[in-house]
Amino acid sequence: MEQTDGELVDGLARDFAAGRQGALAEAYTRFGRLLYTVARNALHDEAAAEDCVHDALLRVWRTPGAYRPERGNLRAFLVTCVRNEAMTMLRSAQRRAVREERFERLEPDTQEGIEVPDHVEARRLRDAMQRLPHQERAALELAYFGNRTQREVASELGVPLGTVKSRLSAAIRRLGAELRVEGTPA
Amino acid sequence: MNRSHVGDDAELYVIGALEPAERAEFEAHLKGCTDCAKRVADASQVATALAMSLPAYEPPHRLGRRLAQADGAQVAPRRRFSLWAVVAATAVAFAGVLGWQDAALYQERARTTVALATIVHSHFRHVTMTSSSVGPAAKVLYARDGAWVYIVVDRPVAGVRAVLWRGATARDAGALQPSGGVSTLFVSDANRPERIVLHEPLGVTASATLTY
Ligand SMILES: [Zn+2]
Repeated sequence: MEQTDGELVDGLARDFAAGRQGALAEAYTRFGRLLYTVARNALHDEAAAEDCVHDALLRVWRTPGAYRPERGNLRAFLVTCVRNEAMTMLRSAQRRAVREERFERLEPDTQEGIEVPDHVEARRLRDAMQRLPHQERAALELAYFGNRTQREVASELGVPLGTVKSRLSAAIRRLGAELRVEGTPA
Repeated sequence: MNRSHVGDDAELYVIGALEPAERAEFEAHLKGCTDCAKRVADASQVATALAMSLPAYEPPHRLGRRLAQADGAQVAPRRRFSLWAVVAATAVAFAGVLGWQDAALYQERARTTVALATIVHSHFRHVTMTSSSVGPAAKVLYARDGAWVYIVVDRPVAGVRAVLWRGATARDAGALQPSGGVSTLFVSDANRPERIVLHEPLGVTASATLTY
């Protein structure tokens, strides 16, 4: 009998939600590389990315009710937590830089990403992004790969905030519909 | 002050595009709104796909150590489980051979005999399983070449199955059998598993990584 990883992860999700011992380490074993990748791509700094994943994981594991299954699967929940934590850290690093009158952008990462993934999911996503309406794709690329908030996207594209909101939202809903149709596992 | 509904914020939230104050407000709203929770659940699948399309980085070892430490510090250290307890428990089961009566017991003894004979005649390693709930202590004895594994849990358990992982392939090796005060499973054709996960119907109870 073959066992899918998903079924094992469901048990982990329950343990994690309850803050049980072992669940934090297990979640990190399973999702750590992806979570670190999220942080590292936003922060471009090894130590900052490490702190980001550490703080985000520890906080949600220790907070009763932080994760609930209706919020989606555990991996997706943690990806969202780490992404938001990274954006917060990025904002405060940039504010500090401005306060100290260092206007140059943060140091570029000295280490290259070890691989540009070419697995099925990554390819499927890239294809789906190519099919997005141009304006939606531009907004999403700036927000996600450029690590901008909606207000920053609005000012860089010179469009009203409400327009950026609806473009980003539409882009993500469109991608979600495409990925679901093509059968990406939840 | 929950805004009654939050327009497109669910999608913006998962990609980190909300400003911090807006995010805090949205998170507060999210706690009581099943519609938004559903939208976040859907949108976070896209956020995961986006994350998987990023250039990957290997996390520093230190991060895993820090989290394992934080995890272990949460509750009292779990019971120690010595190799000798395993051997002693198995030996007791073995010694009981003299008194068996019924067929089930015979089968169980036969299993134990095969397991012990294999162990006695080979070099093996052992690893303590990490419990992911407050589960029982467990240990894996395994051949240095990965040909067999012997899993022992320090109490009688029902419905606990062992899944052997190698790469992305999982194989259900069957349920552990209670035997006296312990439960065991001997897998004679283990095929060099890299990881063993014990789980019961309600979730993962323990896991171990095997090194060769
Ligand atoms: Zn809502």
